[in-house]
Amino acid sequence: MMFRRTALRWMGVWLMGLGVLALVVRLTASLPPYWWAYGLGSLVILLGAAWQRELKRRPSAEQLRATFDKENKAGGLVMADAEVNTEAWAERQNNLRLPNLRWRGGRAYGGLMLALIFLAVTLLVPTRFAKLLAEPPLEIGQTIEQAREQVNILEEENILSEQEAEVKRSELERLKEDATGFNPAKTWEALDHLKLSNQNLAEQAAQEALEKMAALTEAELLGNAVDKMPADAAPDSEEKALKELGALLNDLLDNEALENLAPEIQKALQQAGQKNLPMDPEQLAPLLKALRENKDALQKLAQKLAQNNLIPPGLAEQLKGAGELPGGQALKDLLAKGGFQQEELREFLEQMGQGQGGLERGPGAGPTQYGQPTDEAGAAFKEEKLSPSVSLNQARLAGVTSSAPEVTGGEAVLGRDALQNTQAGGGSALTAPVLPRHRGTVNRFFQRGED
Amino acid sequence: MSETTRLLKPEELTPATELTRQVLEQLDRSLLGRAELHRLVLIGLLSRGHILLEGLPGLGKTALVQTIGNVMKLQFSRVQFTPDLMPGDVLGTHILQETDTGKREMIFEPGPVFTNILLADEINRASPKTQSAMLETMQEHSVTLRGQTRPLPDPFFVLASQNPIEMEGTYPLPEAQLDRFLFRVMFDAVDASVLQNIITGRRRGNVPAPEWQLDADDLNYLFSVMEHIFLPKPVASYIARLVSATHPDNAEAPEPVARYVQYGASPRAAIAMAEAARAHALVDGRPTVGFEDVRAIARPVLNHRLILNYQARFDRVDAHGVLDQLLEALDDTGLHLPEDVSLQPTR
Repeated sequence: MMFRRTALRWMGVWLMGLGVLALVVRLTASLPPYWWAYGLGSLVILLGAAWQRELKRRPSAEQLRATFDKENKAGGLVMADAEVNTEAWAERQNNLRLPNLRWRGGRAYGGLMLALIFLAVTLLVPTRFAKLLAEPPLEIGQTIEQAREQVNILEEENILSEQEAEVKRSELERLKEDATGFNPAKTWEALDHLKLSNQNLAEQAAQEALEKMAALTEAELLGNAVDKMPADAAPDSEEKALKELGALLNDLLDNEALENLAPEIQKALQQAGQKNLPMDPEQLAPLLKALRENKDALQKLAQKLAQNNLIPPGLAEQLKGAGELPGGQALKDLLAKGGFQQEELREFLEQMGQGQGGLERGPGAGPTQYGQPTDEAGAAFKEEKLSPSVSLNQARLAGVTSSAPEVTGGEAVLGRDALQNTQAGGGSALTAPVLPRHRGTVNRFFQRGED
Repeated sequence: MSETTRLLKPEELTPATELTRQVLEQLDRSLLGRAELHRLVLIGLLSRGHILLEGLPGLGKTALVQTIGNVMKLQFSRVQFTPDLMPGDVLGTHILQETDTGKREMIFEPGPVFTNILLADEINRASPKTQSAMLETMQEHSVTLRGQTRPLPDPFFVLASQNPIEMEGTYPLPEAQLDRFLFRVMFDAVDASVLQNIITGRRRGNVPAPEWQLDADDLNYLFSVMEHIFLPKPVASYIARLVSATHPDNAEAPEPVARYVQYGASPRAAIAMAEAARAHALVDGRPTVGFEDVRAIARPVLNHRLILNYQARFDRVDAHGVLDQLLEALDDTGLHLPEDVSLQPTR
C-alpha cells in the first residue's frame, strides 16, 4: 500500500512535468516520433525509484510489533514476546488481531487524474491555440496605421523618395507581425524610432519651407509696393525697385523656391537679370499671383504635416506668420538692402502714400499727432520740504549724566538717538537702562578699581 | 534467560496487584474524591520515589500523608518547615552528654528524618540551607554528620508539600532539589458532591482509621515484584525519545518545546519515568510496561523538570501545556505514519 501511495503521488507529479515538457516541445518544435516510448521508459524508472524508497522506509519488526501491541491494547505483552517467554500470559494474547492499514488516497487519485487530463490537453490542443497562449499578440494596429499614413504623406510631398518610403512601409509590416505581448518594450521602441525619423524629416522640410516662405514674402512685399506706386512717381525709383524685385525673383528661381511660373516670364526674368535691366512691369501681375500660389502651397504643406503629428503645431503657426506681409519697417529694410539711399527711401515711401507705413509717423491710417502735453493736475506729487538731518560730528554736546533717564513729559532729554544711554567719551555700547534699585550695586562694581 | 528478565507469572503478579488494590481502597475510603491522586501517590511509593504535593491549604495534603503512614503501617514524622528551621532540626544533632562512667562524649540525637515517611510540610518556607540538607537524605537515603554516615530506615520516602500562593517569605526549591522528587502532584479542588459527602460523613474532618494495613513484608513483596515488571525495548526507546524531546535542540522536539523550553529533563527523569511506568503496570495488573503506562505518568514526572524560558511566561504557557503538546506530537511506536494513512482495529 505504501508503494502504491508513493507511486501514485510521484506519477501525478511526473505526468504534470511530462505535460509541461510536451507543451514546450510542441511550441518550439514538434514531438519526436517515439515520444511515448521515452515517456514509458521514464515511468518504469520512476516506479523503480518509488519501490526502492519504500523498501528503505519499511518499518522494522520492532516497530511493527510495537504498533501491533498498541493497537490491541496488549499493555506491552506483544513487545515483550520478542525478548522474554510470555507463554504464561498466552490467555491474554488469544484475542490479538492484526490492525488494518487504511490509506485515504482520494487526494492522490484526484491529483493523478488531474495530471492525466493536463497531459491529454497539452497533447491534443491545436498548436495555434498553444502558440496564441505562448505568444499573446500586441495590439498595435492603430499605431502602425498612423505611422504608415505619415510615410505616405512624406512620400506625397516628395520629402521621402519612393524607395525610402517602401523600406519604411516594409519595416512597419515586419513590426506588426513580430509584435508579441511578451516583449512589448522592444516593439514600442522600434515604432518610436520610426516615428521619430519621420518627424525629423518633416521638421527639416518645414524649416526649408519656412526659409522659402520668408523669401517669397519679401518678393511679394516688394512687388506689392511697386504695383501700388503712383503713376507720377519718379522713374528712377521705380526702375531701381523693379531691378531689385527682378534680382529677388531670380534668387527664388535659382533656389527652386518659385514654381509654376510661366516659362516665358521665367526666361524674361533671367535675361533681364543677366543684363542688369529692370524687369518688365507688365509681368508684375502674373508674378505676384505665382508668388501667392507658392506661399499657399507651402502653408498647406505645413498644415498637412502638423495635422499628422509630423511637425509641432508651433512650427506650422510660425510658417503661417512668415507668410503674412509685414509693415513699413520691413519694406524699408528691404529697400535699404537693395541700395536705396536715405533720401531716395523717404521719397519712395512717400510716393506710396499714407497708411502704408511711413518713416516717422508709424503705422495707421491717419497721421499721428504729437505736441499736446499731458495734464499733470491731480497726478503730480505734492512737494514737501523734509527737515534737514544733522550729522553726529555737527551735534552739540549738551551735557553728561550718569543718572537714570527721567521722564520729562515731552521736554528735551539728554542723549538722544544714537547717543541714547551712552556715556560721552566712554565708548559704551550699553543699551539696557540701569534701574534705580540696582544703581548702587552697579556703581560699587565700577568704582572698585578706583578704591 | 536470566532471573531479572524473567516475566512474572500470573500467580506471582496477582497477589501484588491485589495488595495495591487494597491499599487504594483504604486510601479512597479515608480521603474522598481523590482516587486518581491516590493511585499516583501509590505508584510513587512503589517506585521508591519522593513526591512533592502542591496545592492550596485545606485540600488534604497532610491528611493524605498521614493516611498513607497509617495504611502502610510505617513510621511517620512530620516537620513543619519555617524560615528559622535549621538543618540540625531535621537531620539530628550531637549533644554533649555524660556517660555512666562519668566521661563526657558527643551523643547523636537523630532528627525527624530518621523515619519511613517524612512529611516536609511547606518545604518552600525553609531557608536554602535547610532545604539543601535534605539533598543527601533524598538521594542517598543517609545522613552524614561529623564525618559519620548513618543510613535512614528502609523504605524512606519524603512527601513534601508546598503552597503555590503566599509566595512572600518563601524560598522556591532549586532545580537540583526539584529533580530529586519523582512526582510533582497538583492538588485540585474537589467537586460539590464530594464536598457534600465530606461534610455529612466526617465530623470536624476527622479521617477514619484504616480497616486494613499493609505490613513491611507485604511492602517488601511489592518491591520484589516491581523488580520483575518487564520494560520492553520499544517502550524504553519511547521513554528515551520522550525525555530527549523535552530539550529544545532535539530533532524530535515539537514546536512548543523549541519555543518555550530553556532546559529539558535530565537522565534522572528517564530513570524515574521507567520506574514509575513499571509501578503503573503493576497497579494495572500487567507484567509488562506498555505505552499507556508511560503516558499515564509522563506529566507528573516531567512537569517540574522542564525549565521554561521568558517567552513562556509572556505567553502564559506552563509546563503542563508544553507536555500535552509533546505527548500529542511524539509518535510512541516510532512508525511515523503519514497523515493520510492510519491504523484501524479489525472488527
